[in-house]
Amino acid sequence: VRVSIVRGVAVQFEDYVQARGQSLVRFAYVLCNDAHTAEDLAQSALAKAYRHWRRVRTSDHPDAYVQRIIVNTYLSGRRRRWTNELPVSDPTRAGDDAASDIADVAVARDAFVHLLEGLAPRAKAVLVLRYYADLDDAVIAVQLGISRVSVRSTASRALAQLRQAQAASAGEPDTTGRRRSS
Amino acid sequence: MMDDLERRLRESFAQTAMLAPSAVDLASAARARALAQRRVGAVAGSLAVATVLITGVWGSGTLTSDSRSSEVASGQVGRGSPAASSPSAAETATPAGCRVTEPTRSGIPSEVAKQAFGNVFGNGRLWVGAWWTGGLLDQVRSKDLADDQFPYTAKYATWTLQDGKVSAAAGAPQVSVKRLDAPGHGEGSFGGYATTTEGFHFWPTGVGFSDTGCWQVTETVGGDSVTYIVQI
Repeated sequence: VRVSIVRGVAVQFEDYVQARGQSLVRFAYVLCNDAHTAEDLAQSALAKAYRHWRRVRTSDHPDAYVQRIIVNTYLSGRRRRWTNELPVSDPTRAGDDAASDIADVAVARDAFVHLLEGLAPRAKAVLVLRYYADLDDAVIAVQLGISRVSVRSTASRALAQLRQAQAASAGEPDTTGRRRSS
Repeated sequence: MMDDLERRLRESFAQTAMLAPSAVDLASAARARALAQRRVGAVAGSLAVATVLITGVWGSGTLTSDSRSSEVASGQVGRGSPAASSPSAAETATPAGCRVTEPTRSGIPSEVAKQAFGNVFGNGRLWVGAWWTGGLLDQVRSKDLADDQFPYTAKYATWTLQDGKVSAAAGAPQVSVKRLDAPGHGEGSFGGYATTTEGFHFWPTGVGFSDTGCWQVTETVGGDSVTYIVQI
């Protein structure tokens, strides 16, 4: 009986991963902008979610539960490779650069992405939750375990920093009216 | 009201999301379960699934693309040459006439069986996760996050054995991919030999296909080879 029950839970879990796994990896990727890290984050989050799967699947928003784990893991800075694999070589760095992922190149060319990477992790997380996950500030506050006011002020500062960085990178006067020194 | 920067943020995040890796499959679920179960010490029959796969080391360790015609019969495994004398694997013909390889049902080394999630296919010293027999195939066919050149890709594990033990001693396998029912481009790749904290070892393997259709994948290492056919 025990095996049957656990197997049933696993089937539901697999259904969830099948249906939503890619979305979670995308979310993690937007957050960290690194393919391997995104996979690590998503996998770690799924592992944690599985341990509490009955609670997760009966919640109103299983995605929110898993997303919260992803964000917290990302913010904790204690990234753990989900497979704990120790490859003897890194194929993504091996050989010529032509073998590198075109998608990575595209991202690398996007200066705006680089500006985003200049944000503090929590600030970026707030922006991702607000502008990618489309969560309102109240939900973001719950996700991050901070107050709504903190969410708003963090977002405001992050947006200001981005405007300033955009202006600086364009060689235009920033919001303070100064011009970037060359 | 949303200003330009906020619009830019939405666009940038959406574009970035489209570049995310597309590696989620049932193996990911299995991995998550294995990790979770390992931590809480739960062992539950078939769910003590030791798993597999693959994600972190997806790349182009060895890459071959085979557009030549081949004499290799479907679903064969062998030693010495791809068309060696080992017994042919079972196969199931699809309505389109593609003789899809059936997974191996017996004689699977315990070393492989304990690491595999789902079906496997292979011979004495070379085994692959039979990804085409599980739910991953539907995901491969979905073209989610499709790449222009190879819209259909799959990741799976390859195990190489020596003296009955999973080992990297024979070196990285080579993989070739070719379409059987029409012209097409395929690619295969291996990542660096992976070791997990569970003590599992495998070659992360990737295959890419330019179109739907009937495809043949051959892996070789040393004198051993495995060939399987999949309907994408």
